[in-house]
Amino acid sequence: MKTHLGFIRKYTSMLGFEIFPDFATDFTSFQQISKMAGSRVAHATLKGPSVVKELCIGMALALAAGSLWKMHHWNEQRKVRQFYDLLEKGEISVVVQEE
Amino acid sequence: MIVLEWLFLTIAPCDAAEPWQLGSQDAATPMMQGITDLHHDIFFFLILILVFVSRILVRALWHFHYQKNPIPQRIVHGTTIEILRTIFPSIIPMFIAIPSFALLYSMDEVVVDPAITIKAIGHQWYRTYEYSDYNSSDEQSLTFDSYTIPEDDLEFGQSRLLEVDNRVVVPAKTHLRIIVTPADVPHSWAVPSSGVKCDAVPGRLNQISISVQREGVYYGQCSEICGTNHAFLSIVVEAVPRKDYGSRVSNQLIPQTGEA
Repeated sequence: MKTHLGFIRKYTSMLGFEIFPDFATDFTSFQQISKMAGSRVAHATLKGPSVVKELCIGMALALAAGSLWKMHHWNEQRKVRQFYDLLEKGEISVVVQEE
Repeated sequence: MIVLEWLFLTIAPCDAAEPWQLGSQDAATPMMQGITDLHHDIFFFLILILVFVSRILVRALWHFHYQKNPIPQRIVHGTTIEILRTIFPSIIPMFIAIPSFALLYSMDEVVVDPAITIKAIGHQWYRTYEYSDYNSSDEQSLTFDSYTIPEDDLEFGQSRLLEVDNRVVVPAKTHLRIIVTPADVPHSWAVPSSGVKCDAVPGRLNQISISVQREGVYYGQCSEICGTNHAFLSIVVEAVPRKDYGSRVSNQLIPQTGEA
């Protein structure tokens, strides 16, 4: 396993990027990271996103889009109800009068 | 809101299929109105899920891009979020099921005894309609065939593969019973604006109840593959005012009794 990792590390460093970081040092920093706040995605150097905030913003946007659809649905229902009310009262007709 | 209404281009202006149509035909029966309302209820949840999932996906791609986030996370568990993402999606189908089952069972219920019974018989490749309410047992019922008008014989304004020579005339605002059966192979009697699709199964009589709420002409097509001319087997239902229905039927009955 170590031999393989050594080969892969050498190969990737030749290509200019590192995909297998050093396990020893990273495990230490991982321990430090795991002690940070649970709702924040931990990161060694940069400030990560807040899961709760992202979920709340996502739900808010989803509910806003859903509300738009609901408003369209209620508007359509109102138009249909209005149509049948006028039809019932005789104010409009769908039958062409014979001349 | 006007702009938003313009964006939602859904309603077809007539009770037949329209080119580039998006959405259902206008409802002519309470059943179809219920189906349309159920669709709108479910679509609300669809939009909710689509927007939420797309937002989370885009944000995840943004936050964890390899340039912004060179070291990938090694988190494999999150009990709270796992509980939440199990419970919330299981609640959504409950909200969908309630109106869905309500509509399903109301469609099966025949509350009012239908005033008129019409038999729709499917053949290869035409339809026969029987009105048996107006004759005594030893007389022949009002029966006529309905063929789709060929393309070459269409008049200006008529729809291709939809128009028929003899329409099914029914009274508006009246409870109807339609009995559907075939004479040969399986067919299906479907009229989208009435919310009706009833399979015609050989050796079986299937029954549906409808009540057309407004006068008009409603188009439908055969919905079960029945051979080479399956596309040329359309249905046209003409709902007329109740006071005109009697004269229409008697006009059709007179030539028949004359022949007899």
